[in-house]
Amino acid sequence: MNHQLSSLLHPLGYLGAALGGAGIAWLMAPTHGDRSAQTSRDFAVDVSRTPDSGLLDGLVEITAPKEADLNLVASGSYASQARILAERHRMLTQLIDEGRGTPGMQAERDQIWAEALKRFSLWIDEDHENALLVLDDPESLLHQLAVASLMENSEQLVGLMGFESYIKRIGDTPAALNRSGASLGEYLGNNASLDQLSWSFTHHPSVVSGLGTLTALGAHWPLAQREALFSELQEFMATKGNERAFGGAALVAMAKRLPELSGKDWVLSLFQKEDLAPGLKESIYRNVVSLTQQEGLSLPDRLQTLRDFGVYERMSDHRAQAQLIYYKVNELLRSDDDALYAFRNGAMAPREMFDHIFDGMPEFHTYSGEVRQHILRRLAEHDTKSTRSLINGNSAEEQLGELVNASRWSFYQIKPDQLADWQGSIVGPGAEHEQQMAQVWKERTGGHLHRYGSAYFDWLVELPPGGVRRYAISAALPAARKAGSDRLSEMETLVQPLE
Amino acid sequence: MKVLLYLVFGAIGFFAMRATWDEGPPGESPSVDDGNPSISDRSGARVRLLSKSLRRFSSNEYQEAWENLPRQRLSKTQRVEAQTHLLRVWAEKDLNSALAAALEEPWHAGRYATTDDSGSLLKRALGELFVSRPDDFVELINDRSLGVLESVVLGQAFVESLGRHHPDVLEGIAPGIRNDKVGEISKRLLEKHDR
Repeated sequence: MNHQLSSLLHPLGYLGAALGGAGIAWLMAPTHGDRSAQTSRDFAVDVSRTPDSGLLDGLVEITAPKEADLNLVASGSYASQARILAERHRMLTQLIDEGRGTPGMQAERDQIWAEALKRFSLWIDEDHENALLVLDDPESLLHQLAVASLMENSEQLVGLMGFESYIKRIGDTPAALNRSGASLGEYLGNNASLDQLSWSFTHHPSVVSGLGTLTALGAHWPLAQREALFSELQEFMATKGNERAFGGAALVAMAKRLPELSGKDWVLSLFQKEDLAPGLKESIYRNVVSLTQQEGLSLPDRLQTLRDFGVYERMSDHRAQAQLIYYKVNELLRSDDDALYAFRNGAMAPREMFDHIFDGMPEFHTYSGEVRQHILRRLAEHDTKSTRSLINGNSAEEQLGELVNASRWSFYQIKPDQLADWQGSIVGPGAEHEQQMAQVWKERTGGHLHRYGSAYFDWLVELPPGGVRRYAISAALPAARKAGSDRLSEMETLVQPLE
Repeated sequence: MKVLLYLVFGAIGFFAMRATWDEGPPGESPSVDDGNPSISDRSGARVRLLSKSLRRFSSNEYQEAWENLPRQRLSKTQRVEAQTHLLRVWAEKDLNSALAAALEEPWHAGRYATTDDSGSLLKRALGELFVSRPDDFVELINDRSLGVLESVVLGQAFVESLGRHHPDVLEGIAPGIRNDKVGEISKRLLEKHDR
């Protein structure tokens, strides 16, 4: 009996031991015990709080920037820490890309990438030879990190590897060439060694000739030695195969650091040299708009700069100036303060929005009338109704002209309804303005068809009767004929002159 | 001997249980709403909780929040995230209203494209819904109930998202799309995938 019982108990005893072991493991598990108690306490507090805090507060709170918990990866070798972070980064990127990202994920991903780079850089300090081996394996999870390190940690790597082997290593890594290489330019500029520069130009021209590298070089090279840099670039770009390098970007970046117009005068004197390498001349020319964007330069000075270099030669002063204003307004509209979104949705009054942009471009205030027009035109496409209230020219005719002009120089959002609404609201434009309004549709129709296909024809015939429908349909008739659209006869009927 | 066997079985139990924490807490499937395990625990738990609690509102309340969001004056990044998340829960409850709201955002394209245009918002918010309810989207594109041009903008975001992440799903529904432009984009994406 005793024997029988004990043989029956034995297996149960082992099971008990197994359960006991599992119990110990459960108590040790990081997701249980203390932490889960913490979480359920949070729940208890939060649930009582959230119902009235409301949807909007909840949204604002969950999307507020949060600190990623990077202490999770505080142990192990730097290599394995970098690998864990890179893996996490890849996973988050994929989720966001697939439309499954959760709030805060984007910011977290960026933090993780920055941290992964730091850990990788620590690994480089420890053992750069092994760390950089992943450069040769594009499939490796760490490959991207290594490439980024190579492009972003120039000073560290030059310190460890020596200048020449560093440059060689970049040259041997094809992916790195697609990057901007600003860190390399910064290093070369700060170090200001003509020997290093000339060695790189001779042996690894492709590594040092990119836009990012040369712009950064010009932004850091000592101003007192600018003639020496010019000679070096001149020699480099006169050599066959290097004509397309971005030498002009380096010169312009340097010129923008000189006070007022002295930078422009310097670049201009180089530009007018008879023996200037043609590639370098071309490259300076292509960077003149950037030269005009020197901080504090007034609009007339910007225009004069364009003229001195023969940029926008065939444009009238008025048009060229308009172009410069356009760039600036655009830059301000796209800024991260999100004012445009607030304005578009009525959370920022038209006048407030106008002042916000206007105040952001003091260098342009000499031509405040022009600037004013440009801002209004750009705002019009974002909020047709409220912008109209700002357009009140001195005379009725002036006001009319401005409304028509807005439709010509703005409404690039390619949402054709807004353009149609704006033009449709213009009362009694007169023959000349009508022609200008029709011209706008001729210019935009190709873009609309490219984006919407035949649905665009269907949209046209649904427009309300009036001038706009006539301009828009007339502009699309040739394309409808060519495409054999089944809307053609309807379109033709709609543009018949009234009896 | 017996002691040894007890120890062995105890160890088996221990490791069997341990294996479950490596896979995550038992009983929870790894859905996205479980959030961001690496955001610090406290705020991570709160994000998960709030994400869940955002699901319990009505379509009208979502609409109201959408309209009041501009007054919060958030940074652009945060605002776009808030819109994305709002659209997702809203679309689960009332697809048409959520889409109509998203399609009121700017329609930049090509070189004017930005992170906050309709197409980008739709892709980031509705990736999962595109896969789980593709037929609903095909119907909306075909019946044009959201607007003639709107249906093209929606269609483009829909097929681009599927073409990139779920070409098999796109292949299944592409023949049913009646819009020529959206059809053309799908075809190009599928050919690219085949190559």
